[in-house]
Amino acid sequence: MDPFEDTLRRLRETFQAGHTRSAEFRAAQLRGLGRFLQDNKQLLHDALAQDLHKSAFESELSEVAISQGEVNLALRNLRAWMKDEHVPKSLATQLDSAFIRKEPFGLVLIIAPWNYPLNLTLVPLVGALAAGNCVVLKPSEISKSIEKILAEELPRYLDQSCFAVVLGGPQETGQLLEHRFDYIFFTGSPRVGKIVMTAAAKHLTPVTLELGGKNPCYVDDNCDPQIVANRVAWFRYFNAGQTCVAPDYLLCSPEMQERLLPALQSTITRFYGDDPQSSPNLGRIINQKHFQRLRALLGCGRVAIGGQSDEHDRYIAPTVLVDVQEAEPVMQEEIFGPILPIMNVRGVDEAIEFINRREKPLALYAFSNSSQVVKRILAQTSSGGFCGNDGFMHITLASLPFGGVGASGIGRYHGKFSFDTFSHHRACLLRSPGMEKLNAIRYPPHSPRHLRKLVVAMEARDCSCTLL
Amino acid sequence: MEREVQRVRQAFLSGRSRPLRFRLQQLEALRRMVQEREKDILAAICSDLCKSEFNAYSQEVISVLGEIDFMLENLPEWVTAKPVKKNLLTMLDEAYLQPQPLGVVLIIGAWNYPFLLAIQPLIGAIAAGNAVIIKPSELSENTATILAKLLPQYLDQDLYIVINGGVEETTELLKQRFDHILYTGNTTVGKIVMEAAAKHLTPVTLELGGKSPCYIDKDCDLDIVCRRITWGKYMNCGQTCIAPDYILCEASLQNQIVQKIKETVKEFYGENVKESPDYERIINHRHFKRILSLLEGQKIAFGGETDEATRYIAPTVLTDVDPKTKVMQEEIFGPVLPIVPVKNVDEAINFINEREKPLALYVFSHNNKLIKRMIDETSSGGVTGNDVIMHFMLNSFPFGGVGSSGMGAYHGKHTFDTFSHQRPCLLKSLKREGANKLRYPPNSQSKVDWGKFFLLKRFNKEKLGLLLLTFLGIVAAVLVKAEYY
Repeated sequence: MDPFEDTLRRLRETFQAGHTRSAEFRAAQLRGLGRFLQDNKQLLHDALAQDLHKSAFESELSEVAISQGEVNLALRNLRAWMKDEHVPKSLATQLDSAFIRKEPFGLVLIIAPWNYPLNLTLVPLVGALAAGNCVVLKPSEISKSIEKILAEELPRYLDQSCFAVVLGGPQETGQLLEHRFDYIFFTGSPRVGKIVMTAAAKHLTPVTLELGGKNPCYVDDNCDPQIVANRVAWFRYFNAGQTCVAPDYLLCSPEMQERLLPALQSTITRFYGDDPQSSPNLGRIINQKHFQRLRALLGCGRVAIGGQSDEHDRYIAPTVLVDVQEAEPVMQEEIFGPILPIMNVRGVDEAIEFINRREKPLALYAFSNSSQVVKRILAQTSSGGFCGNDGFMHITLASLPFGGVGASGIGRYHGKFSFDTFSHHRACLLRSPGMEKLNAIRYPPHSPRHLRKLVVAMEARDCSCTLL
Repeated sequence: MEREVQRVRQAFLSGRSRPLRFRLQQLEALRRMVQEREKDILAAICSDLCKSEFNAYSQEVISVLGEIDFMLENLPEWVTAKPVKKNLLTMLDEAYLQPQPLGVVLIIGAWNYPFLLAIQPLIGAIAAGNAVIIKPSELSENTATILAKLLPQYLDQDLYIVINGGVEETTELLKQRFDHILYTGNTTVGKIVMEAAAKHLTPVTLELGGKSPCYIDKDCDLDIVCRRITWGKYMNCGQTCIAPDYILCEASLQNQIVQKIKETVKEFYGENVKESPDYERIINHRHFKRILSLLEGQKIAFGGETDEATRYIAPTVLTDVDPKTKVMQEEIFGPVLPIVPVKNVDEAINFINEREKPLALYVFSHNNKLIKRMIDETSSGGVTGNDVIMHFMLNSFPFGGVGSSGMGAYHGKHTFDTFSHQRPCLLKSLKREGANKLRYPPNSQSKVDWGKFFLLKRFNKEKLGLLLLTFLGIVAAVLVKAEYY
């Protein structure tokens, strides 16, 4: 018995019937999403606190406000984004109409993760709805409280003939992936990303994969360690480190490390007090499995700051590790927790070489007073995104696309990039039925004279194309 | 195989494919190759597809030259960083998109336009600063051989290489890790390529195919319509991914269409089509037999003559074709044009939508509303209205499929973009730390409110907004410093 068959068929029929095409319909959906966020704000805050011990500050800024911002942006720009985009024409097509039509793909599957369960579900959803698709949402079963709200409340705000929430774990998701979708948007680990793409290949379904990796953070000798400590600590320990773009590990000289450690300690105390476990501003690890995984990492290198943990509370203290070997587990997997290892390098060259030996990360950070150093690291490495002298601020700018490269992902979204991701860009050339004389040159029988004419016509072009 | 790919990767890691000057030099060298060795290239294409020199030049070489020139002209602009709009929080920072090469790109070519479909992607891949491995189709043997011979004579021998071989070699090649794979070919192999790519999380561009429908409305000038369709259908002996695969029209039009296509065929190829130097042959015996089998049980309105020895199939039109028959079940890729009668445009639209999304869709009509409706109510890779093939020729268009006809697109700047990573960059300063205190714990409701303000607030008038933004930014920084320092 296939639990998804009926739902998917229903959604496909709605799409086929053309209900989602009009701007009015899409705008109504987006407004519904906005109302969902407003009406349920307290509920959502409570759920996020339950799932991840998120503070009101973190919930508001990194989940609700971001989602609301995307809804507003899409509503404001929907008609402009939907417009046919006219393109430059060649000599041969001067009198024709040439435009790119943005079309929905059809049935879109969005698979969301647990770390920012609202944001990473709704922001892609905004793009998919704005682009006119029907959507199947598969929220993470690990962030249970949010999953419940998304399953029970969200559908009430959207047209259920073109939107559905499906629930389940890895087994159900595997079953879901056997079906054919017109687009799959996945946020999660590279390991599961491969499974998703392999499943998508069977139906030739295009995908966007927002994955992860170990985001390096280079700290030059030429900077103020306190400022660096403030910024790095904030982004590292935000959401208890469970952020795909968090700085994963530090690269700096032993001298800088000496200056950073007391600065980091001072920052951590200022942020979370002497007993971080009692601070309302520090999150918790999502579940026992990840807690155990992270606790094991505490054994790598040497604990310089923090290192405490509490199993009942799934609490791990903001921790800094030093004397870590590259082969140790904490440097082999994405940490996704409040642990910051420091690796020593002797200068920018060694840092660049260290970074380039590894998989391309989702984000890359470099701190230095010298803009030359920052720009050099930028030029000689690759990563999804880059921020100089701060943490993941670049993802708050909707005019910048958000996505990975290499093992950190395929595709991108946010703002207009979401709309474009969920649209097929269809080239449309409308020629005039007249002007047949101009076409004569392309018809056989061909002669050398024809060829000469063609070459001459080619030279007189505006943009590259043939006269054929 | 692994060693070859490693060699190319090492060459990429050396960094020499990245500087703009190097890329331009390589593109210029490629241009010289095409110009100086034109005779050899044309001879190879001609012998693979029994194509005339004119056709080989006008269908393949000219587009390649045009693409190289377009790249040379625009590349200096494309490689530069593009600043983006900033918000209140990032007002004083640098924010831009920086295109970067992906690394090692694999291009798998097809046999129907063997030179164009290998080199056009190559041009964009070089322009984007990548190293490239080309695997030409083994079915177009001579072109595969000439590419392997010429490329190393003109281009960097470690950065851009040709690997030849059949299914076995391609399978081995696909086990290696690439940073992007562009494949042109059929749906079945497309799935295999994507599955292999999934193992390494390699992004793919798949230029596949399908049955491109061609709807002829009764309100049109059939003379012109049939000339254009004849041209697009029988060029390269029907072996074009965007050829009009079949016609949909009202039954009453069939006879006229047949007649006019027949007349046009005579005009284009003469009385004895077999002797026309402008008419090509089927690539090999397997495809010859395949196309022949599509004719079984069909009503041949004209054409149908074949000659196995030369792999010749005459321009053929079938009428009153039953949608359930074999000729309507697979992409024809040959000079056989079925006409499927439909009652009206509604039925035509339903017919098209019941099937896989095609690579191209054609509609002929004087009625612009009808054309608009056809576009609005169907989907396809691309569309040409009142002509065929032509949307391929405009490189300001992204060229690619949707659904089973493919994913991704290229041509012109779209090739450059396909083979680049557009990296978002935000460069801040270590100064003005005071302003950051707003975000640091311990948190409070007012911090939440300020945070939202900076994240979400927008202003309507651009200039006024900027001034106000600056003012507010300063005020906020001062306030924050006073309250929270």
